[in-house]
Amino acid sequence: MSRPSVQTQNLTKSCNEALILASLRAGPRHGYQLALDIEQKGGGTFKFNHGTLYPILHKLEKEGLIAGAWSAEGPRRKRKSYTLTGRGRRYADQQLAAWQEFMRRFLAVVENPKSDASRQGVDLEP
Amino acid sequence: MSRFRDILQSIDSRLDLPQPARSRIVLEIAADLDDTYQHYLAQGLPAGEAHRRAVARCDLSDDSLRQLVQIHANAWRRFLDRCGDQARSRLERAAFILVLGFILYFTVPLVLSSEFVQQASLFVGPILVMTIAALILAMLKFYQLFIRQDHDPRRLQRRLPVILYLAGANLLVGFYGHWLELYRTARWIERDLQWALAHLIDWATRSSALLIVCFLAVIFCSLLWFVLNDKAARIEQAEAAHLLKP
Repeated sequence: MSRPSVQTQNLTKSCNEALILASLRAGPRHGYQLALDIEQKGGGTFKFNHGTLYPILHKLEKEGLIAGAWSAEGPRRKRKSYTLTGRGRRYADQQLAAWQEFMRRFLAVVENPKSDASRQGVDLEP
Repeated sequence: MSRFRDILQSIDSRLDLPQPARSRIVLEIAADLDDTYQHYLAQGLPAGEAHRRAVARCDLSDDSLRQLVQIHANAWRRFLDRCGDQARSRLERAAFILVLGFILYFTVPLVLSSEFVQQASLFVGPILVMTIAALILAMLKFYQLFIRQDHDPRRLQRRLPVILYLAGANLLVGFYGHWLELYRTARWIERDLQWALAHLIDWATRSSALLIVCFLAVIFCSLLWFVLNDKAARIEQAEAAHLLKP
């Protein structure tokens, strides 16, 4: 079975996707709530512009990892909230594990740059 | 009219997507813009500053819009959208009248004749039941639209795909009946070879009548779905247009 990994070619995008999935693990959210939630939990580190948010949300929805549902609040006010699907929840769990592994390895490199990679059991494949 | 009309109009004009996907994105952004604005107001910012920050936060760059277009693009819908609203409407109306005219002129008098019904396969029964079910569902939707004046597109779209599923089921029953009748005829011919021609003619009559009813039912159900779905899409577009109105 292939090990889940972080897409390092576009790290920012992977990071944003993981943040959105992690935020949705807590329950359904509107786009605005997602941005606010991530910003607050991250202590302002992750500034979420909606231009970044929508393409990721719509891509995840298209892939069936999240489901969008419209709710009407008054005659002219409608909001779309997103929730994780069963497949999305499993994918989010995998991504979280992949990010933990990625961070562990990243810290192993930056905190102890003189250590032998093979001794650390680091996979050197690209 | 939305207080964010300018930015919504700008996004709407730059979003090269067919309807109703474009309207849905504009509606989603409009709701998030409003929420973000209310959030800044709740933080104690003056209305002008809250507006400025909400716009700065929610504006979509050309690159983001391109990504959205790539996600939602559909070649056929893009072609229809490029026809322009008026031309598209004319195209749809012409296609609708053409199909309806064809059905009325060539097939309905034939199908309504008592001889035709007597000759048709027994599989016509389930097809008629499913078509009546689709018609009842469509009538309920028309009642919701024109009598109760309920123009909520989400309520209108609820259970609407059932009409399309019934059209698909009609097609399946029609083809299943067609092949089953052929199998039964082959068995009769096998047992009673001297009447082969009579059996074949009987099968051809029953089966072709079944397929005619089947195709009519599929066209009818699909048209009902198309009209109602198009109406729901137009209501959604009107909602987005309301936000963009000067």
